[in-house]
Amino acid sequence: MDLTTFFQQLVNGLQLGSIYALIALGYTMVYGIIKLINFAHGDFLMVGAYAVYFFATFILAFTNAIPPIILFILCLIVSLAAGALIAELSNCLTYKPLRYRPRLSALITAVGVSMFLEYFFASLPFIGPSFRAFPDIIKQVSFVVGGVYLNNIQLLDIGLAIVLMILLTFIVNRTMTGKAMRAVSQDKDAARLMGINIERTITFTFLIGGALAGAAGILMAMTYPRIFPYMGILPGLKAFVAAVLGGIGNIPGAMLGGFLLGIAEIYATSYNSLLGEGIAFAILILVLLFRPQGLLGEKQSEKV
Amino acid sequence: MKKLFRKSTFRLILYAALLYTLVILLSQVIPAGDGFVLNNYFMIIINISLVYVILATSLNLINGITGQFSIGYMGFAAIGAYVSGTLTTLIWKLIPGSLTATSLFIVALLIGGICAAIVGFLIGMPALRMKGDYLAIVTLGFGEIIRTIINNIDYVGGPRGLLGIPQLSNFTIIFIIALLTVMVLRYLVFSSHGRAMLSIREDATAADLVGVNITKYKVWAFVIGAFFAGVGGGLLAHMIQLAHPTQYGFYASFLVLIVVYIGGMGSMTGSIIAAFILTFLEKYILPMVLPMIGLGVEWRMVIYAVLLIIIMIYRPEGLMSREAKFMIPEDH
Amino acid sequence: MPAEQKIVLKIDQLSHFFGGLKAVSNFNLDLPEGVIWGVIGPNGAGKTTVFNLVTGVYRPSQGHIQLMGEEITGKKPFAIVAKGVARTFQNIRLFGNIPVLDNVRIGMHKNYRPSMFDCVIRDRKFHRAEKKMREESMELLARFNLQGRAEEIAKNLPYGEQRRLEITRALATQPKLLLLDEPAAGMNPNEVDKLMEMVYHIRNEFKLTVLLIEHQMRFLMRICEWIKVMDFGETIAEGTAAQIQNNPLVIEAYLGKGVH
Repeated sequence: MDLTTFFQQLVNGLQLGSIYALIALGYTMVYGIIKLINFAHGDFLMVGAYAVYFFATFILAFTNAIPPIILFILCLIVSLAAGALIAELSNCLTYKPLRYRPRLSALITAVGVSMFLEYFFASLPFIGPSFRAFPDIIKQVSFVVGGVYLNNIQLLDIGLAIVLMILLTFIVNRTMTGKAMRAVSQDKDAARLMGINIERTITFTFLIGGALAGAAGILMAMTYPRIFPYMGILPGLKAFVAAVLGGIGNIPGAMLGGFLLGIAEIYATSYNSLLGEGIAFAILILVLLFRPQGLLGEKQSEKV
Repeated sequence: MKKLFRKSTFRLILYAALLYTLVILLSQVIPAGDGFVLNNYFMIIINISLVYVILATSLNLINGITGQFSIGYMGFAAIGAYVSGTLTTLIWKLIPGSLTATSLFIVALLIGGICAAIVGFLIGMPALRMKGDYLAIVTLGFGEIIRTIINNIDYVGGPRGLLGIPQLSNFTIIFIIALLTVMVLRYLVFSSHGRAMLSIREDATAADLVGVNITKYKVWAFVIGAFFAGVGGGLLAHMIQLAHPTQYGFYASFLVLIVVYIGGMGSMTGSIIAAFILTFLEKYILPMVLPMIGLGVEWRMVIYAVLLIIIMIYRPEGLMSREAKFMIPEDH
Repeated sequence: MPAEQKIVLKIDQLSHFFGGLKAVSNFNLDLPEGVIWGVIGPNGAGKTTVFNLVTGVYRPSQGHIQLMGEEITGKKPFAIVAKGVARTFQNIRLFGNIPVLDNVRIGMHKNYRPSMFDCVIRDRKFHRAEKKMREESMELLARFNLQGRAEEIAKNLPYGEQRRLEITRALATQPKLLLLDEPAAGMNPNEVDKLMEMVYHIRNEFKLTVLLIEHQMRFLMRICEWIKVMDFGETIAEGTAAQIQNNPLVIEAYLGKGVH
């Protein structure tokens, strides 16, 4: 593989990875705080994408006069809001009643929520199970740098992902809410004794995680402009692998895992499509066999 | 005779025989309208329910009895389906109807089951060192890998699937195999080996320190579960006459897990009942009821999901949280 | 300490580290057959860790452990149990959701070997083994006055009976060495006395050697023929009850309530 192709694939990988990273962050945050693998998380992405679809189609039906950047920002806000909303709704209606029940029932409920979202959207007459073309919010413009083909959408994906991650890191490390989140994920009971409102903190976690999934949704829809109700399944699953790779429950780990997985998948696909399909799961197995706590996670041991 | 009746094994076989006769009568003897009381579609649902009985009871052995939470279980069913399907369709090219065909079918099923069991062993050895969430994730990953590999083997159809599988399954064969599965698993669970598995579920470290070889039993549960999954997968493939990688992904695994959970983890009776209830619900009751309230058939999975969530919230321990007395052998 | 006697458990220079923390440092023991010896020390002294090392839960960082002459260092727990060691836990670890009888029968598991095939086809071998296991388990339960509880779910038993059940289960494995980890935890003085009688009784009836960890000085002093005192992983004193009671090091490190 020559240098140009290497860099080309690297950029492609970072783009894919940024989407994975955004989803993985939501997974890891929710797991960190309530030890739940939220299988519905990939579907929050789908909800965000559809929300923007309807918003953008509606706006563009009326006027073409809005500058693309402004339109994009509006759509982004819509996707963040939609993702956050659906996440907190799921939490409130289904995960909260099961908060102190066996973890297995919460896990199965998460699957139930996932099923519900997918089939619900597929059954709604104005959505349906088939693909829909996503409107062009920002026209794709390609340019070449040193033999490598880039386009503005790619840079947007990567750039926005980085911005959101910096924002998230700031919130988690510098604000009181962020501190509360870290406290609850370490020791729920101790946090309660310190006067932290557990449910409010959990809500906040879901809102942020969902918003990030929503952002991933709009980015994914702009990058691969066909949306359908099951679009969240595979990215969700792979983002989950990314979270495990980085260390489930570990926020920088999710970012790292997301980018690494994206890059690995792009390179693997360029060799062989079988490898590309399976690389995510192969990485999952290898990580769990040889370093189950992930790249940045901590080993857990049982006290006898 | 009364003494014989008190033996629960006898009761089990008796009720099974009665049920079997009833279904045969209703589907092949007693006429109604154009055909018979139980039409073809109904029989398909019964057959699918029976296959789910096989899948659910054996998954129950792994998850509910031994407490090893594994997803990705349908990967084993896929192996069984594809191996037996390849044998009957591509290699032996069987045609249903003759005794030879049926006998070879049974052989193919067994080989499929054994292959699944071998893969179960290879996966189980490394995977079962892990606990809790990690084990669930690793089994999920392995299930997906199996699916991905099959998707890329052109000889068995790859992404098109293995088509044209002869319809060698029928109600009688599936019924008998389901009955045998239940009996074998039941006898296994109500023995010292079953108790050893239960102890692992309850407290693996304590079990270790009371002399139970926990690795051996975890792997055995996994291998036995995989075997029956392979057989179930084979039966299913030879009923719907096709095997496709998408049928065996983690979604399919979750559907089986849901049957096990709703029936009550650790309860064989529960798995049997839940297998029937959930299959009928999804494939018969909902498609019938929905048009009555003005919704298309595509809404049945939505309702299914909602019902699932409601059951999780209001009765999370499932239908049968304690083993029903019916199933406990008197010599246990 | 009597001189010419079979040594059931021999521990040599046993040390164990958890990362940088030294949990056990240079622990030595020559445990003769048929005695009741004790290990005491403040919380975190490393006593339970020693038990864990002996029973194979952890592989020792350094040192050797021999059970009746056979090297068991680093072996897996179930293999060590098979050689004749049984233990109870600080926090009772029963198989909570299954009946009392089954808890004991699981203990018998390693002594009876019908194969899985035998179980599935329910042949004579299976039935014989099951009959024996059931009879012996009921007998054992009867010795500890638990036979009436046989069909009850273990976690529903009152605390005292759960403790007895845990010991019964341990005895079902037919051990030669019994390790008791704080058996008197959570008991009032009356119950402690009864427990003491039970330990003597077990030792004599089942011909065992007993090594126990305890906090409650009253219990330990009256029952143990020899006591080792640990603090911060080290053995700071050993001797008879009278000897260590007056040992200034022990008094300094830890001497709990209820001494007299």
